[in-house]
Amino acid sequence: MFKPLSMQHVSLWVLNSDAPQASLLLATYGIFTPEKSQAWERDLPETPGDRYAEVFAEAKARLNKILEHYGPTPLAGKEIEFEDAAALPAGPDAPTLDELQEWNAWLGELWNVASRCEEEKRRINEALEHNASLLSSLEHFRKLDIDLAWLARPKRFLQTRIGIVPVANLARLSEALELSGFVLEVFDTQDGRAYAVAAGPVGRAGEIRGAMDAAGWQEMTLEPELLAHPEKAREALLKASENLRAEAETSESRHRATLGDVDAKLRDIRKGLALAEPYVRISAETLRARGGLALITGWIPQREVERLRQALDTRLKDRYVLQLRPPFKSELDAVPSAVRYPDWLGPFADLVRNYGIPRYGEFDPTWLFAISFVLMFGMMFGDIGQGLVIAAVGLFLRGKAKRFRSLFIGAGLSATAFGFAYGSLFGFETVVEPLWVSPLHDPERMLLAAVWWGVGFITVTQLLTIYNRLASGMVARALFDAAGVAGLLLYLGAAAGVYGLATDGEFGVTAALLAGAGLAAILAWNWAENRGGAAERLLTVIIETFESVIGFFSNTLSFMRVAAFSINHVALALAVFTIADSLGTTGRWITLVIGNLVILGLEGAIVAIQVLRLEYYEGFSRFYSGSGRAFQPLVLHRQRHLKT
Amino acid sequence: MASRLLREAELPVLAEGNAEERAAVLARAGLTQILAEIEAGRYLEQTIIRSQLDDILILMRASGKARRFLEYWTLRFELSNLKAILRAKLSGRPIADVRKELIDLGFLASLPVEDLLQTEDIGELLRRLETTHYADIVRFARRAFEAQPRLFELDAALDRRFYHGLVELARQNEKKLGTGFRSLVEMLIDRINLVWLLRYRFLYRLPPSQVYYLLVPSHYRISSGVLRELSVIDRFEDVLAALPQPYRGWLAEAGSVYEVYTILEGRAVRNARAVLRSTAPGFARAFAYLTLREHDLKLVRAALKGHAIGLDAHTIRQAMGLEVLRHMPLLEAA
Repeated sequence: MFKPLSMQHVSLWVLNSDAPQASLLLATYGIFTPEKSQAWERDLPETPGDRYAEVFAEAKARLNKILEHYGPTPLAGKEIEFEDAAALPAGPDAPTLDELQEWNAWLGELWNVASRCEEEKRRINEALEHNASLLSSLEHFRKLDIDLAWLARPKRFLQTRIGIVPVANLARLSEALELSGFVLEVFDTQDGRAYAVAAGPVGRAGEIRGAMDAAGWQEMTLEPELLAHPEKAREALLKASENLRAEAETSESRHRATLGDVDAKLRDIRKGLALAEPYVRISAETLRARGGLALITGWIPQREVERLRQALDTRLKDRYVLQLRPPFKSELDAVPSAVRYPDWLGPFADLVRNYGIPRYGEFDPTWLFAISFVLMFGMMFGDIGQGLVIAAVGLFLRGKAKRFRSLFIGAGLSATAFGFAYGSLFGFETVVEPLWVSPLHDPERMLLAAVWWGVGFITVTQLLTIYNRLASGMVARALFDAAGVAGLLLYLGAAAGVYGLATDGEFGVTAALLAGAGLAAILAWNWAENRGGAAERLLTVIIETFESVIGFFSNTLSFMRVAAFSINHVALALAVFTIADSLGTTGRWITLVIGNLVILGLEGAIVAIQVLRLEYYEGFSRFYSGSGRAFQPLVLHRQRHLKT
Repeated sequence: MASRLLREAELPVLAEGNAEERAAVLARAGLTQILAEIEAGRYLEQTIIRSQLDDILILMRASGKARRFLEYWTLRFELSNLKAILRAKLSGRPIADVRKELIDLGFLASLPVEDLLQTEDIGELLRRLETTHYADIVRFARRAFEAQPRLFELDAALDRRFYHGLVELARQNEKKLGTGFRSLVEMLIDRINLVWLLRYRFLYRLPPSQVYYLLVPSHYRISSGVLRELSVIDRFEDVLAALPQPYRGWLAEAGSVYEVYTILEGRAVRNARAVLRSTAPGFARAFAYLTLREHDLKLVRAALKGHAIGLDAHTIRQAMGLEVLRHMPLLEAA
């Protein structure tokens, strides 16, 4: 609950032929994350899964293209269904390489058909576009003050070509054609395309072809006679377009019919590929082999070991060797952190992860974060009515936002509780008698309470730092560093002394001894840790120690914002009331509702951000590295659409 | 970073030195990683481009508004990926082989490389490309390709569009980045245009109109106007004689397209070194460094490849271009 699960390093030896099945088994349970073992790379030079992965990638790409080509079908919308393999060790079999190859070949044939269909579609669309531009260009031909039919007919010395070219390429093409004795005359432009006539000497057509192709020249392919009779041309083009559309429809229905016959097989293949995927991932990330024996390495939570062993016994009988060991000290930083939370803790865990993932063995602050976040939000936003609204919003969250329900309800109820303590209801300060204190009437008390809350918060973070250091084996640092026991003594001693000064007018001997011992230990530690000449060392030690003391002081004062925001909350409500009271009855109530909504939205967000700031900078930055690696187990994908 | 550039005296060591001496040169130039990656079985070209990309990424962070220019500059590598895929589809090479050669551009990549790799044939590949920002080129090139299934037109169109975009971006930054930056881009574009013109005209025997169309529109010393005049000239020597100065002087002795390329590259290196030493704006000097580093890496590649296949020192020197430049004061000045 307070730290990542204990992990075991796994070395699973299996026969090459069993590796796909073993991978599937590991993925089925979702308890294993693969990790390459550098130590074995030299001794196990073979990578037996390469061919399998290659065929898989090709088959998967083909399947995706086929699904994309045929669009939404009953098949594309469905999730892949598997037997409940987690409960039943005798789950499905992983496909063999032969099976994969057979599917891949079949998918290849099918894609060939689909690809031809796409090519046909592209050709038809291009022809339709061309016809459309010809139709629109018939209008443009009228602007030419010459006989087009004559222009298009072959001539003895002069050759002419009529076509369309992108306007962007026009100038360059014109210059290029001049080099071969051609003139390019534009007679109209539309939608970035220029309608032009190229004229030049007969026999030099070959010279200009390359430049024209490169410029995207599209020849007008109408018969000369049609050019002379635009109406006839129009009819002919419309008819041709109609034929093309009919051709496209026929082609489409022919291919849809093909899918009808293959639907069941596509479904099987899709399921089969999902079962093959774990082996592909294992191959890419860890699998090494030699002489028919393959090794899979990775990590598994300690508590899942027995379950894995049973599953392996059931599926592989005695054809495997499972070697387990706890992580070495040297590899602690690389061990993945597996953390489990109840659902309601999810949004708080997300906010913690936003800062970082707990390193293996490190204290996981999610619980502490959840409690302190909710408490601080309530302290800064204490209002019975507004708190209940926030909690009610949480109850009504739907869809993806439902995940944040516990965060809203927790923060809302906390605000409600502090609302009772402050005696505040939708900004009304006189309706409910405060159980503790009204922030605006006794700000000094509020500020003191906030500072003491800060002292408690920092003390806890200091204790956690000491725990994390002891857990990492850094005993001396845990004892003598400013962030360790010495720092804690200094901090608590100083806090007790300041309290004594404020109440009895005396710092107190015990407090002075505590603080003095802490300070001396920190100075000595910093002296031992620093290198260099005596003067330089002394300067560094003084500066570092001074920085630690100032840090404690400023971090504690930073918590005054908790009180400041609670006062600010009441002041904002007062401002709303001042405006409301200057209006008539209706205007007053409308202003109060709108004012409360503004406070809820705007101030609520600001308070949430301030709480996060306190958590991250005054809390996490002291004790939480967040430099861990998330445990991402190999799982059996049940995705709706396979992605490459 | 500039201190990592290869020194004049180190070039013969790369060509003629033993493995230890070469390793020492590479270590001084911060290229030890190249040897390590080659030993690990990675492709030399990939490793070298990776090294260039690392440099570009570092300089990109400090480039401010000129960052866009550097981002665009890296598209060359994407273009080479695309060309490799196109060639593979035409020749039917296995996907796994091609994938090994491709350069991982990380967040700079804009093409769905894996999808392109998984296409079955060139027709499907072109269709897939029509859904990317290369659609305009592909649509035109397809017609030429359908008439004659070869990749020249598509390759040429891709290159031309890339450099045209580069010229436009450079033009937008010219005032801000000063004459040093302009001279770097000028020497690059002039070299590309001249070499392409000579290659298309005298090796591929393309007609003048097509040659001119395939060149990069330019406002530099070898401008579009000059290129038009050069495109219609029928003899190699006459083209060189018709060039504006200083190119005419530099190339007076050049007898082949390869020599033209090598001499102009040598001049570009010399100019880049001058810009790097100058007080030009930081980005101009950064681009000069990239130009020089790219040249260095090219020499390293030639040397390492030469040694790997057992060529003699003289041939390696030739491959590095040192023989062509031997009698010219290019390297001393640099």
